[in-house]
Amino acid sequence: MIQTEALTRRFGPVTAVDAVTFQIADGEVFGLLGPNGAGKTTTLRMLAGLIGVTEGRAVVDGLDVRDPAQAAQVRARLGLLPEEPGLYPDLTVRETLDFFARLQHVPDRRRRVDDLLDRLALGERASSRVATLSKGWKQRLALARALVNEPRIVFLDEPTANLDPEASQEVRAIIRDLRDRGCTVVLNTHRLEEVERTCDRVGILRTRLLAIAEPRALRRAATDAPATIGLEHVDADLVHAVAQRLGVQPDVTEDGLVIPCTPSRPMADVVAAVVAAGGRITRAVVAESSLEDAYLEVLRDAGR
Amino acid sequence: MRVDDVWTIARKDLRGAWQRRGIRNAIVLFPLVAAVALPRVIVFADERNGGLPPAVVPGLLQSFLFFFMIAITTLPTAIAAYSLVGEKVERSLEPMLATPVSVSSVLVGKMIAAVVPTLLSVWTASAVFMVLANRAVTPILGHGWFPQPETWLQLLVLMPLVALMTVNIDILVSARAGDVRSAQQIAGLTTLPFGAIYMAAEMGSLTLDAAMMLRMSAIVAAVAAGTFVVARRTFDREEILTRWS
Repeated sequence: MIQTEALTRRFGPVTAVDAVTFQIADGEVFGLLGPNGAGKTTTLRMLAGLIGVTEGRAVVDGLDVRDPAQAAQVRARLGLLPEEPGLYPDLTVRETLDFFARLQHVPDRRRRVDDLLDRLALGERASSRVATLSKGWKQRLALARALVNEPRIVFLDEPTANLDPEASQEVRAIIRDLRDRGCTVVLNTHRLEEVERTCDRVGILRTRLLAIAEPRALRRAATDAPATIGLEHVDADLVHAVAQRLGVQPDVTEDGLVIPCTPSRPMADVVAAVVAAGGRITRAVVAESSLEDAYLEVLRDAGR
Repeated sequence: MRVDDVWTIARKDLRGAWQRRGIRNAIVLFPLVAAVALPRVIVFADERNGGLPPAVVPGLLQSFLFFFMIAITTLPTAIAAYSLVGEKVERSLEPMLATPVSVSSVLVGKMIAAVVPTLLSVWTASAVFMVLANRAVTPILGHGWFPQPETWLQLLVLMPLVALMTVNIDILVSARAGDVRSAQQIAGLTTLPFGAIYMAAEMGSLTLDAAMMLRMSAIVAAVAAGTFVVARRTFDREEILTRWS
C-alpha cells in the first residue's frame, strides 16, 4: 500500500506539491493526471525516496520515505521508469539489464535477465547496442530495467510519451500484465486515453490533489453533461418557461432543446421542468462526459 | 558504500569511456608520445649544442618528467566529463539513483573509473620516459639519472593527489556544464598552475626537488580534500535530480 498524508514539497519559494493525501491499494493501477508542471514527477520522486519531503509523510509498502534508511529499502522494492528512458548508449540491451541487476543485488542475475528479455520480447535485440534502438525498443528496455528487481510497486512517469500508437499499445499491454501479476502501478501521465484504458483510479493533480476517483465516476461527476430533449414543437414561450424554471437558458435546436445537467440540476429535474412548461417530449438523452471533459472541468473549477 | 557497487559502476564507466576512440587515444597515446618525444629532445639538444653541460641535465630531466603532471590534470577530465556530463545529458543518473545504491558508491565508482586508467597510463609512460631518458643522458653523465627521491614523490604521491583533485573539480564543473566539451574546457583550467610550474622549471626559476614535491603535495592534498567535501555535497541524490540542469 502507498499512503500519503499532506505530502508537500517546496523548492525555495515555489510549492511544487501541496498537501497531497491519497491511498493506493496493493495491486491497484493508479493514474496521476495533471498538466505539465503539476507536481506529478515530484510526487513520484518523493514516493521513491529520491528527493526529500518538505512536510507531511509518505509510506510506501510500510516504509516511511522520510527516513533515509527506509527510503533505500523503498528503492530496493520498487521499479521506476523515469520520464526519459536514461539508457547508456554504449551498452547492449543485455548489459544494461545486467548492470541494473547488479546494482539491485538480484540473486541469480543471469536467469532474471533472460526472463526479462523473454517477457518483454527483447531477446532478438539482446546483443544490440542501445544507441541503435528505436524509441519504442528503448522504452521497452527501460521498462524491463524497472522490473529487474521483480518489484511489487512500479512507478511509471509518462511511459508512452513520444511513442507511436503501436509502441504505446505495447507499453499499455505491459502495464496490464503488471496488474495481472499483482503489482501496484502508479502511472504519471497527461494522456487521458491511457488512464481510461489502464487505470483503476485516477487522481488529478495541479500542485494540490483536485480530484480522486475511478475514471468512470469522474466522467459521471462532470457537471456540464448536456441533455438533449427532443420535442414535438418548440416555440419561444416554451423556451422562456423552461429557462425560468431551470435558471439556465437552453440552446434551441431544430427539434428540441439542449440543456446542461449539473448535480443540482439532474436530468430528472430537466425533464420535469420541460414537461411542466408544456413541452411534449419525444426523447431525452444525456451524453456521458468524456474523461477529457471531466479533467478539464476539474482544472477549470480549481482555477476559479 | 558497497565495494561491489563501486566496482560495478567503475567497470561500466570504464567500458563506456574505452569504447570512445577519442578518449582511448588521448589516454594511451598522449603520455606515450611525450614519453618517446621528450628524450629525443635531450638527444637533439645534445647534438645541436655540441654536448649538453652535465650540470643542466638533472633539472631538465626533472622538469620533463613534470610534463606528465599536465597529462594527469587533463586525462581524468576526459573520462570524468564523459561519465558525469554524459550521464547528465543522457539523463541516465535518475535510473541509477533510483536503485538502493548509495551516492558515495556512485561517486567513488566514477572517481576510480577516471583516476585509475589515467594513472596507469601516465605511470607507464613515465617509466618508458625514464628508461629512454636514462639511455639518452648516459653519454653525457656517464650513467642514468632516474629515479631520484623526488621522482617517487611525484609519481606516487603528487600524481594520485592531483588526479583526485582534478576529478573533484570535474564533478563540480559537471554540475553546471551543459555538455561534455564545455565541461572539459572549464575543468581544463586545472592544467594552468601545473603548466606554469613546468615552464618555471624549464626556465630554471624553480627547482623541482623533493622538498618542492612535498610542498606541492601538501597543497594539492588540502585542495583535494576541500574539493572532495564540496563535490560530495554537490553529488547528492536530491541535488542531482533537482539542480543538475
